[in-house]
Amino acid sequence: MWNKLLSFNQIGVLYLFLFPVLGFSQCFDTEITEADFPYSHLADLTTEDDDWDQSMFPYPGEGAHENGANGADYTYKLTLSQPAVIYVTTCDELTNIDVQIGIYTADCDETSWVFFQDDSNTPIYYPDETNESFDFSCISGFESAPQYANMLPNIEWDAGTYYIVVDDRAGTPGTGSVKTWMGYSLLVDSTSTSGDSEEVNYYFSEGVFGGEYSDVYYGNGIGLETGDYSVEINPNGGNADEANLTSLESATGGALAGGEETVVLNLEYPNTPSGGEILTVGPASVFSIFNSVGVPLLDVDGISISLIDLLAPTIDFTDPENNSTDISTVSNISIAFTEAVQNSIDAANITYANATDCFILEEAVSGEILAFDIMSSDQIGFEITPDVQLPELTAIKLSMLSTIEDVNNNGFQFDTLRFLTADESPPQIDSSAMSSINDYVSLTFNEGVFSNNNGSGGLTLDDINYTFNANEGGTCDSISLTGITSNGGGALVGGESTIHALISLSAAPSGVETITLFPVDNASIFDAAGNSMNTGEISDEVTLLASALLISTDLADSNVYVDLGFSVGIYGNAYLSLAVYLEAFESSIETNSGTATTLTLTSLTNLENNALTGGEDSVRIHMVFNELPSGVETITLSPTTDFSIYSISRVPIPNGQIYGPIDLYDEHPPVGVDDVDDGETNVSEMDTITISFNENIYFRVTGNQVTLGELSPLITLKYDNNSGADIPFLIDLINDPPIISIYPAVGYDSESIVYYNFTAVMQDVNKNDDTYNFNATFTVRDYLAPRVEFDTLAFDNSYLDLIFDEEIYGTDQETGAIQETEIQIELFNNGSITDTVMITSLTRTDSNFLIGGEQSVRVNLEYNSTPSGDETMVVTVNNGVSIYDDSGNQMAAQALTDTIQLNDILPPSIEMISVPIDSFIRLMEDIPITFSFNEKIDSLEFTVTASVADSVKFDSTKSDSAIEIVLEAPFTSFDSITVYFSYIEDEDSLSTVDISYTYVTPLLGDYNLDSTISFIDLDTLVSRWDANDLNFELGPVTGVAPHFVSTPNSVFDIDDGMAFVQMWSWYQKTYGEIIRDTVVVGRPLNIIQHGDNLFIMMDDSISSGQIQFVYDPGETPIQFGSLSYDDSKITLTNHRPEKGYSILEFARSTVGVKDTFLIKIEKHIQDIEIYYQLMDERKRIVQKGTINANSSQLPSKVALYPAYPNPFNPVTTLSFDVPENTQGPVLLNLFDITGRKVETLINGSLLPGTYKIKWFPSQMASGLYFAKLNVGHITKTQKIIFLK
Amino acid sequence: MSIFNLLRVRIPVLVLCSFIFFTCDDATYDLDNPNDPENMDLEPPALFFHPSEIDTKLDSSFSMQLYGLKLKPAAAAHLDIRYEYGSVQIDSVVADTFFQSLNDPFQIVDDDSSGTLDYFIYLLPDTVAEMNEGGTWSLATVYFTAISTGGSELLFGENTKLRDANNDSVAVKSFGSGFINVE
Repeated sequence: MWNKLLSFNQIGVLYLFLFPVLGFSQCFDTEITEADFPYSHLADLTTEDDDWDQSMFPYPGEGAHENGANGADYTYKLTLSQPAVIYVTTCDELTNIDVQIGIYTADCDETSWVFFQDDSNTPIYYPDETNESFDFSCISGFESAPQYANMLPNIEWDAGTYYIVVDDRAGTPGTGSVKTWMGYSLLVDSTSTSGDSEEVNYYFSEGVFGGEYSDVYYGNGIGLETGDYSVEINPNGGNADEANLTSLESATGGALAGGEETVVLNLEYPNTPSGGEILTVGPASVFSIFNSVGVPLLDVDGISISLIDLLAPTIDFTDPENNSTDISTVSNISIAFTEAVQNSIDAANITYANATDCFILEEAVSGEILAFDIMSSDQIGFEITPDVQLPELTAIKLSMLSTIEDVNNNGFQFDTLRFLTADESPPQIDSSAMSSINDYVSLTFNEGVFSNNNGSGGLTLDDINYTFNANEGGTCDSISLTGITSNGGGALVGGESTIHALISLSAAPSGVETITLFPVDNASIFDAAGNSMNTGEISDEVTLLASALLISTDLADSNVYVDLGFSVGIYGNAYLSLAVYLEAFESSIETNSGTATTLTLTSLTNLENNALTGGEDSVRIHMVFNELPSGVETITLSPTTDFSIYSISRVPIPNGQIYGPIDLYDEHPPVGVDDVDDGETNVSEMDTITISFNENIYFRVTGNQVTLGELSPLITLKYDNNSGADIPFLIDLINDPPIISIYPAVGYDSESIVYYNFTAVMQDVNKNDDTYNFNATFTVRDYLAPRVEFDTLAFDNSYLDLIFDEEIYGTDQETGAIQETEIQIELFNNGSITDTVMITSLTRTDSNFLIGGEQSVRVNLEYNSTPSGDETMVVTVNNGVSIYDDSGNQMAAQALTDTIQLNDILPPSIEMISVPIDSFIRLMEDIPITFSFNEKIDSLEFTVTASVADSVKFDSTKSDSAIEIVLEAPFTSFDSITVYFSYIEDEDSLSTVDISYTYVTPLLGDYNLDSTISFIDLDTLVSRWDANDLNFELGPVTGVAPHFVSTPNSVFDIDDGMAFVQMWSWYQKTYGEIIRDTVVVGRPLNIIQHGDNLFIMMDDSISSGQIQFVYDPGETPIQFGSLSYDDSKITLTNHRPEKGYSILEFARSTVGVKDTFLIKIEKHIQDIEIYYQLMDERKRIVQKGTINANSSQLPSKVALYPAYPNPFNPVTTLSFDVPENTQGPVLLNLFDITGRKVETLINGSLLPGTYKIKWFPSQMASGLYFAKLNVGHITKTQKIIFLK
Repeated sequence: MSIFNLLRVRIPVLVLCSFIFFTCDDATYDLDNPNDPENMDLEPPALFFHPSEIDTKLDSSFSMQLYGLKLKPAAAAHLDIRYEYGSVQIDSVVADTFFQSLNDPFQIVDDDSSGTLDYFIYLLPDTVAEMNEGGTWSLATVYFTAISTGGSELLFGENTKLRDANNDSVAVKSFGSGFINVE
């Protein structure tokens, strides 16, 4: 900041130059030069005058400095002969006033000020409104605020003259004294740094002191301390990131006492500098280092020192890493140092030529040196390539020598890299051997083996395969591997180099059989390094040891023992100390359907039935059976275990050795059995009794095999437990083995009891004989379906009771009730109208629900009409009907009943009339009405009356079951005629009373019989009158409307018109009302309003129509224009002001031309609603809708709204507005996407208003269409999408 | 030829005549005029033609009113008009005020194109009455065109009759005649 003072100093010079002589009076009090430094002076301002006004110095943003700085002052004129950095301060105990100091460059020229300071702790202000502050807490004699003195510690001035003014802020006269000091500022002349940057020398411009400012001021300053300095380091990418100032000392190495011009800073670096770090050292603050009078050192920026490289190179990384294992034998070695290195011997880069000065590659154990090549592109990273492949599983060492150094000669610390090369060879089988008792094969590998490729898991049976060769003369034809153990017989855990493959033999070997073992596949056996044994690795062939072989077997005729002969003597243990014993053998028997099923070995002897002593080559095994053998059984013998029987050579006979099968001899008579259980029930009526023998049978007497004819006398078959009749039967016999089949000739009776017996003495072919006696009594099943025994019809035909011969069910499981759907009734009406009968339910005869098991069932019936007694019916069931007896016998299709005659309970009635009662009776035609009865009628009474007419003429003709009544015209219009039957009796004297039929006569003139007299009828009258169609004549009439009686006179005349007018007028008066039908059909009404005139234009297709004008009730605001000028149309008008409407109906005889109605309306009437309905010649409604005339709410502009729905099919509605004051016709056209007009919906004049019109484009293709509305010169368009 | 077909080909003339009719003032009668009904030797109630004689030119259109003299209240009329076919032709018939109520009268015109015009006219009842009050009024105006020269007579035929609202006959004691002279 002090540099800024220099610039203002130059400005001051400028002022001096511009205003050299503002006045020739003198404003300074003392004149000094730098030769007077250090200079001090005490000025008594109480005696000084006020030469300078310092109240107007501008404070930035705060106006002038007017706070009393215009007091008595004292001025020092300082002349510098050369540039200097000086201090000026009034901080002194003798300064006892609040003093402000200002600096000028021209005497008495206040405009030449260059800066000023009020207090030591306030900023220094400059004319350019900038300021600087260092907030110095001054010491002075102004006790309440000692900082009111000034401190300018570092003013850097050029040579020249300066006026230093100290001004009493209290005013004039001054209030005290001020002592001013000036001198050269305390500066750092230079610094120096030791080569290791651990020592920094500070050379000051004068002696320096530390401690508190006040201590220095009072002359009690002390030597600088480490806290007076600030030390910071910027790593700048280097290694050293921290520097500590450990001590200060004098140039001579002594402690600092204060006043030293040279100070030595001792530093340490926790991390050795690698070069490039920036060390910054300076005063801790402006209160740290002072000169002798307490002026501080302001070198707050300090000095910066760039540190040099002191860091030795180290290994950054290696590949392989140190102490790594399983390294490939063809690996290179990569090394990277932390910085570039070189060979310190020749100070050259490390290359192949001098690499051995720096690196040694060798086998770690043997010390064998390994030659290598070396490559490096930057002398930081090195690639070492051994000349030969490294040995497997060998420790390799790379020594990095201390001859390696960085480029700053920092030496590398000797280091080594060690690693172990990988095992890369698969395991091998070294040897194999057979155990002494043929129980395992021992395998020895060249290294420990595992079942997994990650050096884990012991081998299993899945890992080892074998080949077995019985060879010529071998008696053992197969073996199997049963397990694998360690050498000591324990479970394998992995890593074993010797294993035992346990084997099991199928038979005793003869000693020529051989075995080899090998891995199952290439992923079965691994070494610790994961190298897999190849399947081609096969063990040496091992040979089974010979055991005792069976050479003969001999079964006793009585099946009581069998003799076994061996090739050598046998023993019961491997020590040959025990004779073979009974439990050493196990036996089995295959019965083959024979009689003997169990075998027990009882003892073991030599062939002389003596006890064994050991070493016998023949033994006798005694045995017993549970039954005498029938000769089809076989037995086998074998050692109980693999270690039960040993040969004399101590080799055991394996358990797999089977002796046999040995066929037993037949000792058993034939065995016979029948298939009938005594007391058996539910036996089929054609059931066959079967007696089976297990072998052919012979008569003992004859010794011959039995024949069919010899069997028949031996059999008894009778009903009722041998007390009933004989049952004829047939016999079948088949032999080998014999099966005798006995069955009835025609089937047993249903539910009968049958007795049978067979008795005979017979033997087998070996003459083993026995007595046979079979007998049983059994019950034959119920196989007959239920049937109806009789039926009973209710007197009123409402039910039919069916009585069955047994209980019936709905299922064949003797459960459930039968359902009504199972039974059909065929009804024969025999001329009756009762032709349908329906089963409503089935119940018990006591009307309770069926639950199954009923013998009587009530069939409840309902008819389409009451039976007349002519009807008959038959009850049937179909095939598959769910009606069963308790044995599950299903009822077949059949008629359950004979033909049943229904009882007559029908009263007479009228079942049909030839003219429906909702029919109109033509007023001028006789009408015959035939009343048909439901049955023949014996007698009846009836009347014919009318509600309006006094009487009705009629004639009648009666037949057996009908009466024809002819009502005779004319009839009264709008009348009702009633035919009333007071009594009807049939031939069975059943009667009916009070039956009446009422017919309505139409309105005279209502040609279309729609119960109205409307324009449609008017149109009919006009057209028929014109055609002189007398069928449509109305008059003359009698009576009063609407109850006219018409008697046409074969001419259209005044009476016809009179009748129609009176009927129409009556209708309008009676039924006329506001239509209020807003359904829209076809185009809107073509209408123009011009002033009070409303012109309604009829299209040429319109034949007749109706237009109703609706307004507020009370007066008639419209007049129909004179209609007489156009006789081509017939009009009827009617005003109903009390109801608020007027109606105009018309019929035109000149269809094919356009026409116009003129309607006059009173302009002041608002909202006349017009309903219209127009028809063409074919009486089809072609235009219908409603519009408003004189509406108070009319559209203000032309609008065509989006069609709805859109897209659409088959119809959409277009809405549009026609505003007031519309000029010209309204045109609404439809265009297709090519711009072709496809239809015109509107082409005419419309009243202002909102309209809707439907569009049915049924004959058009689907796609995009445009609706275009033209109202005058305004056009509106909407898109429409038609979908099919 | 029915009146409908007749009117179809005579529409322009009809419109013209209608225009003339609507724009003329109501007729006023001077009772000393020989054409006045009181001077026709008719016994009321009567029907007559007015004017009773007309001189006209060939191809000219003219009209004659069918008048009632002191008629009783009526609701309908059948005016059977006999004219000389070939001398004149009837262009149209327009109802006049006799059967006018709040509603325009209902009328049917049947010209057999052989000299007989059957004109049926009915009063449409309104809220006031079902028939008029009778009196001396024009029932209708017949528009003719002279199609040949010479004189011809107009007569009321035997079918001419009036009815009241009860469909009873309204008495007409005498009938006037008309004469047309075409030059």
